Amino acid sequence: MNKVLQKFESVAMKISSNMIVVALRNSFMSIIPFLVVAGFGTFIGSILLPAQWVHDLFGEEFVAQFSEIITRLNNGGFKIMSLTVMCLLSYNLAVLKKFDKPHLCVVVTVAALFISVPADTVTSYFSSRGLLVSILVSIFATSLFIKLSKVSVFKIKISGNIPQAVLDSFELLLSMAIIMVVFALGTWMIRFVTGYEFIDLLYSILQAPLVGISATLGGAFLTIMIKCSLFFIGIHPSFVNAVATPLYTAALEEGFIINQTFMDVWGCMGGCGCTIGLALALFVNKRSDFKTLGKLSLPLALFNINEPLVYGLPIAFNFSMLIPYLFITPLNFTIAYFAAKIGLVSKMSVLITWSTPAFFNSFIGSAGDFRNVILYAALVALDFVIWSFFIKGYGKVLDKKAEEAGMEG
Amino acid sequence: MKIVLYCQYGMSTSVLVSKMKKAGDSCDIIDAYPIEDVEATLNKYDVALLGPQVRGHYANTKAYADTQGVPCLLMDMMSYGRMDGRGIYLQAKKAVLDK
Repeated sequence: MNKVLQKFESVAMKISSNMIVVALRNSFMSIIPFLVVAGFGTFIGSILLPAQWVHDLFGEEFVAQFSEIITRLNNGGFKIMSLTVMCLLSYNLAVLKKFDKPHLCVVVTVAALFISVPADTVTSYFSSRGLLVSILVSIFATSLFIKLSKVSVFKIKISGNIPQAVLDSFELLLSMAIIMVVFALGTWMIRFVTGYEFIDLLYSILQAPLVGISATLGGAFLTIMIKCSLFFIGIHPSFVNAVATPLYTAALEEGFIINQTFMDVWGCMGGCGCTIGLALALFVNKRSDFKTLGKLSLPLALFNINEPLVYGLPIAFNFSMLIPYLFITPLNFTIAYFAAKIGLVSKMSVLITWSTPAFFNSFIGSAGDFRNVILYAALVALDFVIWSFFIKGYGKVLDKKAEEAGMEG
Repeated sequence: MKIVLYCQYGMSTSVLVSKMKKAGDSCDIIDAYPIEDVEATLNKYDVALLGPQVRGHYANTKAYADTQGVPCLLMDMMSYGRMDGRGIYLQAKKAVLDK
């Protein structure tokens, strides 16, 4: 059993240390502040703009102009999400590969994107629609460019009193040219043979299905159960997030109910696996060890941090806690999903970070719908009941262990 | 004694650091960093401790720590979870004394 676990651990570590995964994760994390600012603008807008008192106090002209400002703010957020991720990804990947001119990789990647897409539609691929293609173009163009740049026969050396920057870019001229020709020929050939643009094929065959599947209840179940299972065996699922976050963020922009904010709010109540109910259950428990742990973990749970519970109860490697840990979140997902679907609450539409405190995240994430806070409290209460039941069982297991240890002593 | 802790992002570990400082001497230096910063920081300390979330990195980190002559341990999972500052402080102290 230990050997299987170790094998699993080394595979997980290899994946999460993989250069592309690390670069993608870091690139996405870097642009989240922009998305949050734009999202916050949307949030303020959706509270102020429909409000009658604002119209009365400031007049229609003000409201129209204010709305225009919010739209402009959004242009710097989701509307350029894929473009910014693409540039950062080539830069970060180049740095990880220890290439000394990462800035040139960015230029090569941007050029490759513009070469691959018909000019009049290229801006539509700056937003979430172009996410997959931006990531793939970035990885391919950057990796190929770095490989080619190492081939000495491609390096053009010019002599004379010329600035270093010019010398550097001339040296790589041939490598750049090869990349640009490859992309131009490649995408032209796809168009010639299939009649469709490469970028549209990629979107319909790969991205739309991937996003569509992840944004279903089944997809959400799968994602969260993979994350919880990894935590259960002591592995941090950061590489799952590297894949899931771009997909769910795209889902957010495309208006799905299940999206990044949905996963953050309903899948992370008190921490991954919805452990806020557990912290409460421990807090009110009569056992002194449980009570102490509850006191320690409750304040942290309000900020969606649950490491004291995962490692301290523990939840990890503790089969008494496996069932609630794996299945409470899918239950919460189901209730929250249908609540939004039948219109009991508004869906999550504003991007927030997972660390936004409990209860507040449901309010801000839904652009100010208080009913989501009530739903949140109801789910906490439901989870509290379920966790209490399993805690009781675990308490008995501990008592039995102590008894047996006492008898042996 | 100079102790360094490594974990995923450094958030819950900072609570542990303050509890360890309470258990230790006022002249101890106890810092926490994300696991990516190992090579930049490890050789400034007397002992390195890894959080359970970064267990997968233990083999590599220990190999590097051995080249620097710094003992490197994995923190006990439940002591970390229960934020047992005193227990982990003593674990670190023992490793330095055993060196």
